[in-house]
Amino acid sequence: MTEKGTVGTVERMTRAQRLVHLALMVAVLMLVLSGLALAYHDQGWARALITLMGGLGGRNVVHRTGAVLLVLVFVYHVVATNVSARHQQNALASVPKCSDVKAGWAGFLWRMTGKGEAPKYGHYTPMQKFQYWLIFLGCLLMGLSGVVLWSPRVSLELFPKSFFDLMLVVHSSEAQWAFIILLVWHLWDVHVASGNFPMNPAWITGRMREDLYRAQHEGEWESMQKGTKE
Amino acid sequence: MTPVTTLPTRLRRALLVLGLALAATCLAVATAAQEDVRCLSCHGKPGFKKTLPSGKVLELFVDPTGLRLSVHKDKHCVDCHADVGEVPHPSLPQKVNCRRCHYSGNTSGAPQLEKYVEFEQSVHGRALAEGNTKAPACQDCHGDHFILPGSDPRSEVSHKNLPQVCGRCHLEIFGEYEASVHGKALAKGIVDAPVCTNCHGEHTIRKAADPDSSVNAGHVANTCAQCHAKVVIMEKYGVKAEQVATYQESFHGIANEFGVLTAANCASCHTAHDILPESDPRSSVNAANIPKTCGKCHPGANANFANGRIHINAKDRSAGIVYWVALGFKILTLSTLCGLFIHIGLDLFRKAKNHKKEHGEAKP
Repeated sequence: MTEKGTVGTVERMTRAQRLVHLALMVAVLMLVLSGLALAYHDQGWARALITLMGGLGGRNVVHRTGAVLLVLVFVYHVVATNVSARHQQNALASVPKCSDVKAGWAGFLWRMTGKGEAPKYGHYTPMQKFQYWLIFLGCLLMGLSGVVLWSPRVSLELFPKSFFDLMLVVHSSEAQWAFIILLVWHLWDVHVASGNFPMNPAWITGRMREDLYRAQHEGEWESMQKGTKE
Repeated sequence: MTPVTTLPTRLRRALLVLGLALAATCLAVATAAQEDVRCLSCHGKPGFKKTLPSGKVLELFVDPTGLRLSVHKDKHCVDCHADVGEVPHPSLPQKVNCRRCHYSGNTSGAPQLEKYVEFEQSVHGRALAEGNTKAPACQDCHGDHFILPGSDPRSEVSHKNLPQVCGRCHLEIFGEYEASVHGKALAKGIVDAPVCTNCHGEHTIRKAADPDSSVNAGHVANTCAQCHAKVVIMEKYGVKAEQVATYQESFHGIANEFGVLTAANCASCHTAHDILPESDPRSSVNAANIPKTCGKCHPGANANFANGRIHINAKDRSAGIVYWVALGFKILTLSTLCGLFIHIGLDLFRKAKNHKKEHGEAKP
């Protein structure tokens, strides 16, 4: 085994990507904390959070600031994907393919039986793709329902009360679903699994250890060695 | 022999004291009773009245049977009208002060409860202390001579009679209450129907603007919930007890809970005294009136506000699509969670197996 200090690193995230990731993280944390505090307002911890945010009015400010930040991140992401070549390449890599389902299934079988080889993943693993699209579609749904909830006065002038209620339940249910996936899977995937503990430093340094990169994205690694891009 | 003779002496003395005490009591009672007779020689005449220099006519007839049937049946006129001595009275006798007997630590056995202190803190007690002559004192609600416990149906302050007592001064509100769902229920003899004091308190009545008032915006929901959250009471009248919980879970309810008192409470929409069923076209929550009612806080409210249910319970099938969407998300969340844990479990399982295999190969 190679000594830790001598292992080379590979770039995983650019400076811009890290900044956007940080903005996304801050926005989601703000939204989740202030949102869950409202959804579970009868619990002690939720009350404490609301008090910490300066009461219900302060909570609204936190939630809406987080919302604006998330919309900015989303808009930046969509625009950048369409204008920058590098982003386009990443976007292409994130498109779900039949091979992802196959790789996912193979991974499941391999974990179950241990037969055959561990699946080789590309630039994005099937789980990362799934999470990405979940966040992407989630942003759309949360954004649209959130706009309706933003001003009940305006939205109730335009839509019936029942539509408002539907948006409310969609907003809160979808948020809790996304939160659970983020909490359980993202934390596991990035912090615990595949030798990343305590965390994959890519979100701060932008780089990953070669051996881990190879282990986690072997498909891409092989094509990188051949000098070809996926 | 000496002890024998001293005992009767002592006994004799004791008997003398006892006899004197008895005689004094009899004399006092007889005097008081005699006083009563004196009082009634004028006040016992039906129609006895006096016109004050101001032109005000005082009805001064007293039916002694009322007092004899009341909780004060053993009392005499001057026990309460203590400032009356001479006939005719040299000056206008003062209004009776109940606290002559009803004070803490009294020996006459008059009940002394927190109520008297509560009254002083109440809107009526404060007005009285400030010298407002229209403010009610004890006897203005409880009656003067025919005072009975509130539990007695003949009492002025009994559940059934109370609204009329308050209505003597609060005429307009009494009219609204009488026409409301609560007032009509009371008239039908429904004992569960709230009267004034059930919401406003008895001796604790405070202005709605007072943060300690039971009808202050911060307390209205809890006050209504005393009855409306009780399934046992509500199911008798076909009213949903869950309306309290659905309010508490709504934006209005949450805001109210966190002290945003501009947020709607029960009375903001249902009114305080005019409460009528949704089906009544005059009701503030009738579909036709919803835009106006919501418009009090949401200017520009239109028919869309009435298009859907206000007290919606996403956990109940009656919520329609909202229920199914909420249920769908619940199933999705739970199954996702299961999937995630299976994935993590399998990951750990494979790692442990491979670890064992590697070490197994290394050992021999």
